[in-house]
Amino acid sequence: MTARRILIVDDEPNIVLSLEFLMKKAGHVVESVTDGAAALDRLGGPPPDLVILDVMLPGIDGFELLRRMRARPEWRDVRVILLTARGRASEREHGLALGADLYVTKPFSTRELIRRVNALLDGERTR
Amino acid sequence: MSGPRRRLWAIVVAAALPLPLALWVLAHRRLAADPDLARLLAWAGFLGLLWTLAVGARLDRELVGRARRLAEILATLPAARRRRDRVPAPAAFPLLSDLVAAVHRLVDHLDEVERRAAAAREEATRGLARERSRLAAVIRDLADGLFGCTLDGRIVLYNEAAVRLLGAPPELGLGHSLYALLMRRPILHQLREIERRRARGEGTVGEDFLCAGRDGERLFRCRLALVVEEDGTTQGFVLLLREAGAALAEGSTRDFLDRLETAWRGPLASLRAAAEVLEGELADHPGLHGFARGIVGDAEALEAILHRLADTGRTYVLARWPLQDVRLADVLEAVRDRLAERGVGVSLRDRAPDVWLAADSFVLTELLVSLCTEIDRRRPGAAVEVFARAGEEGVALEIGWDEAEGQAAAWVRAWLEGSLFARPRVEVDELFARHGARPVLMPGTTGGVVLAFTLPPPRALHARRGRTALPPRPEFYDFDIAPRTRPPTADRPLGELACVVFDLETTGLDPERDEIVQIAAVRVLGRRVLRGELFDTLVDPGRPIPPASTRFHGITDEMVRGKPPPAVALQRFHAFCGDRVLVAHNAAFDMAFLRRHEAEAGVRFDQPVLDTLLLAAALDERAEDLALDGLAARLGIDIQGRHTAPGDALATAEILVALLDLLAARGIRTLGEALEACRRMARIRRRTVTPAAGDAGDGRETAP
Repeated sequence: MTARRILIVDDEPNIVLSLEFLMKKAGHVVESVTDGAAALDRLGGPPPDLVILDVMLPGIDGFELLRRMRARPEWRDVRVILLTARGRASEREHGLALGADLYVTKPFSTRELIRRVNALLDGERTR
Repeated sequence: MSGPRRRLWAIVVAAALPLPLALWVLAHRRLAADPDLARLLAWAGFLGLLWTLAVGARLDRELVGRARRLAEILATLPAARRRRDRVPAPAAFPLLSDLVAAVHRLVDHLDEVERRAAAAREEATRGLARERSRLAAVIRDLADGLFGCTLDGRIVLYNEAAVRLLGAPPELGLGHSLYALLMRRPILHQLREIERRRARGEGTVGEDFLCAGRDGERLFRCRLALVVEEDGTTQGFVLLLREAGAALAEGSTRDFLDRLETAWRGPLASLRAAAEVLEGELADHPGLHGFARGIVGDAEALEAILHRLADTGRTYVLARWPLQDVRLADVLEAVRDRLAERGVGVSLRDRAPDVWLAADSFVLTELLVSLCTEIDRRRPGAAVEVFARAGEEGVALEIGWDEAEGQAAAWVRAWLEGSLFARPRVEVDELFARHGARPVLMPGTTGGVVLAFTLPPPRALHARRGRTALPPRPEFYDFDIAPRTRPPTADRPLGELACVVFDLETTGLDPERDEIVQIAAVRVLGRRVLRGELFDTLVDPGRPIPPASTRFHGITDEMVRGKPPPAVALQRFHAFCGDRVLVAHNAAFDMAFLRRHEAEAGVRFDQPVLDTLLLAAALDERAEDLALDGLAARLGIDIQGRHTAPGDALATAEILVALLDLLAARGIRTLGEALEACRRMARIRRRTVTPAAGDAGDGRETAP
């Protein structure tokens, strides 16, 4: 299995720590940013295979970041998992409409998340 | 010369001429023989003529003149004030004294009649004024704001509380428009809704609804009642309102709950992820793995608790929104009306069964109108279909139309986040949330998309069954009640009696051994059934209710558990009756049950007792079907809730009122006469009716 590059965008260091650890353990190359400005800068670099993106970021919200990501041709096919602390159904629809592959409400089971990450990286788009 | 006078003079002249003429002819003949005698005769004839004419002149004055004067006086009498003084004394008109005396008697009679009429008018006016001032006092002391309005919303009545609630705005005043104070559309919507219900015979009072003040800042919980005249025309409406809290504060409570939920989800996600990492890493460490697993378990438990807390909080916020029981078909009809008003071309197709649900009828209507308008902007003239499925947790609604899901998703999301009204600004999402509904857009099963959401089930059972039976004019008060509640005496007219009409449900048909399970009664005053004054209690018979009886009246052992025993229920019922006349259908059966418990309860039912069955029998001694159903049908009375004690008591009360006129036509007008009729019919029927006759259902409608 070739190493896949995963970008984690979340402003809560503790969850970034856990996710980094788990993804690395699953054999992926992990990189993380913890605020919107850094994430925007990162859009200029080479795209990863998958992004785990928190919706509520300081500076810019995850939806806006996703929209800008999808506006760049080289980022268009990157798999995106949205993480959110808000449970409203209309937000889920919003995220999926903007081109997210999966919408996960916090808190979540890490085991389930890793399963979904691997499925997304290995297979076709599930949505 | 007038007619009477001409007649008089014709008679006088006719009477005066013959004697002088005869004398003059005689005088002429004797002229040659005896000139002196002839001269004497001629003079005598002349004097006779003069005398007769003098008598005629006197008659003219005394009879014709006085009669004309009397006629003039009579003509002015009806409008005159001191009539007695205007009519001359009989002695002044000697020839007409009898006539004048008769006129005096007539004048006295007229004066008396007018005096009585004036007194009655005054009493009525005083009564009206008294009633009005009592009504005014009630309205003034009401804690709720109250407006009486004409149909076009002009204020004709309001109270202090209304002024206080609305903050004494300058627009508030008699004759001003209510819609300068409160939003017009929710009120018009309610009026239409109540008219629709009224057309189905479901009464003229609506349910609670929300209405914002004109400033859009404050919300009021309102209730409307139509003011309907005897002839059935709607004259106006009465609006009750109380504060429902500030619109903004309500919104911020929800926001606060949302923010709180968002806030705890983050840290809890970190905690759980970290714990799961540790649990995985420490799998080989027997001492520490248990700790890690414990933290994972606790994090999961904490999550469940917080979810419940958030749901409960939302439920509390929701509970503050008054939802009404509405019929889906009515809502859709209102939506169609509004779409037609706005010139929106979509066709709304009702594919739903006839279901009731709980909703803010106005808000739901506006939501659907707004959605249809949005659909029409993108797919002009589209067909919008409404499906519904009623379940335990509510009514699942699906609004479907033909559009690609991806296309629809984008604008529906924007619509959900947008606002329906300019003021107060409330998100569409929030309006759904007030109904506990979360709309989801899904592909339709037969193409197109559907917006699916579930609304709460109706609260009242009647709405589930689909029909309410409200009295056409509920009798909630009668300000003149006090003078009428004297203890009944035998000569009281039946039309003025204060009665308690009651019905019992029992464990069986034997008054010696069976027991009461329900007592229901309603007060009747004269010809009015006071539906607001109901007595209804279940009774614990202290023994199992036979299944056959439960099938009959629907009362189960579980229903009567914890209810008062017969003696206690009887004490309360006795207090409800006071000294009113007791009325029941086949009263002997019910009275036997009551009498059996008198000693134990320490009360005596010694009021006069009337029996509608026997009274009906007295009207038509050959009538065979005197059971409640048959009698009600013949008298044109609709029984709601047959074989429930309240239903039967109300039906019996209506029957009693309907019988009053028929009894009066048979000369039975007083309580004493009615009691005697009952006694007589009881004697006759005891001899002639077999116990098997009557209502086959329970045999209770047979004679005692």
